[in-house]
Amino acid sequence: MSNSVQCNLCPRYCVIMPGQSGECRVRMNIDGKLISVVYGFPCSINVDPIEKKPCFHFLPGSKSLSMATVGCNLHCLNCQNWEISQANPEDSDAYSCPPEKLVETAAKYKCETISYTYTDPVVYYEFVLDTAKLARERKIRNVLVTAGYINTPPWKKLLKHVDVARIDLKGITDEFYRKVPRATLQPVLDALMTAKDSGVHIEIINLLIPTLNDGTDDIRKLVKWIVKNMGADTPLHFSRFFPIYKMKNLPPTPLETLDLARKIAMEEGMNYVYIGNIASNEGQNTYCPACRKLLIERNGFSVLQNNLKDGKCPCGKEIKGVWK
Amino acid sequence: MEMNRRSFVKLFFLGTTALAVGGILFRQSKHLIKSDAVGHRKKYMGRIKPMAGEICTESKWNG
Ligand code: SF4
Repeated sequence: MSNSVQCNLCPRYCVIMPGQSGECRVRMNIDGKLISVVYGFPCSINVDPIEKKPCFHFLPGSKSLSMATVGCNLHCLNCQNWEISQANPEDSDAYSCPPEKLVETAAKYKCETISYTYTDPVVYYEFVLDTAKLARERKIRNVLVTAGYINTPPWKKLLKHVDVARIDLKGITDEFYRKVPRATLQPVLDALMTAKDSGVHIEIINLLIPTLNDGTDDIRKLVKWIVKNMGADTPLHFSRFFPIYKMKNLPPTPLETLDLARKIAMEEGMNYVYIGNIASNEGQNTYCPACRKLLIERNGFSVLQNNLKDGKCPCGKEIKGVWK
Repeated sequence: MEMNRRSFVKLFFLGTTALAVGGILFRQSKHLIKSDAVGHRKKYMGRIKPMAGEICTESKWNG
């Protein structure tokens, strides 16, 4: 046990022996010190539309410099980015791009935000924190795309420097969390509520996996939890599952299931419910909850029309979000 | 008060176990490192690739 270190960042609380790394593969014990081995070394940097995160109620149509390092503290059997999330740093290519250079790149490509995405920004926490502080100084805003599997003290500290938390709520039972992402549910619920208290803009995504979390009871339970704890105005995205990685035995989510989930959420009072990972569908558009007018029409990641005026529907109803 | 042999052996084992557990916990707690205190590595363990034109394109990754 000598010189072992414990990482307190996420609920896994890894105790790491010298020369070893934690479950996320990127936080290592080097000579008795906990070291982030991917700080300043993103494996992916791209300019994406913000709609790709997906964030529908935050600067629609804007560009987001999107980056990730390798590593993740979850091990979802259906991970769509497993080649980077489950990779070891020593086996992966990366850019040498410290926070200053990243912010400079965002400015160069006229991106209004930097998104910390693709894997999970929790595991490259210090890199996010330093970049986010610098980005704010340049009036560039910060978007976290995360599963929210993080302990409360570091989460609170990080939330002070970000503008959006796009959080996965992968299911609503602990059984599902133990089986698919190999984690537990309660820390994620805590992270969602902490984010709400912090005042950042929140959007939630739920990937519907046939037979595992797509039962109507589960969907209703998840939606009720969101309405009660996060509010009916929180944008909610139901996303389509495709067989991938270690879950090739299940079929893609039927389109009817996605439509049904959206219907249930709206019955329960949710105002902005979307369907993702599919071609054009009315579940990609934003409608006014008061007069049902089409406010933002989307096709894939493109915004086709935006009828909002100062964040309001022409009928006067204020639409939750950050619009400029 | 006199102590018989059995009680002494019992007490001895209880005492040494408590000391060992305490020692391990103390040692562990000395090494508990908070995420705030994490250092960074200057050198990447894998390969470094050049930052090229691909940056201005949309990513193939999800999210
Ligand atoms: S962040 Fe990584 S090293 Fe730290 S507790 Fe979580 S999985 Fe373990």
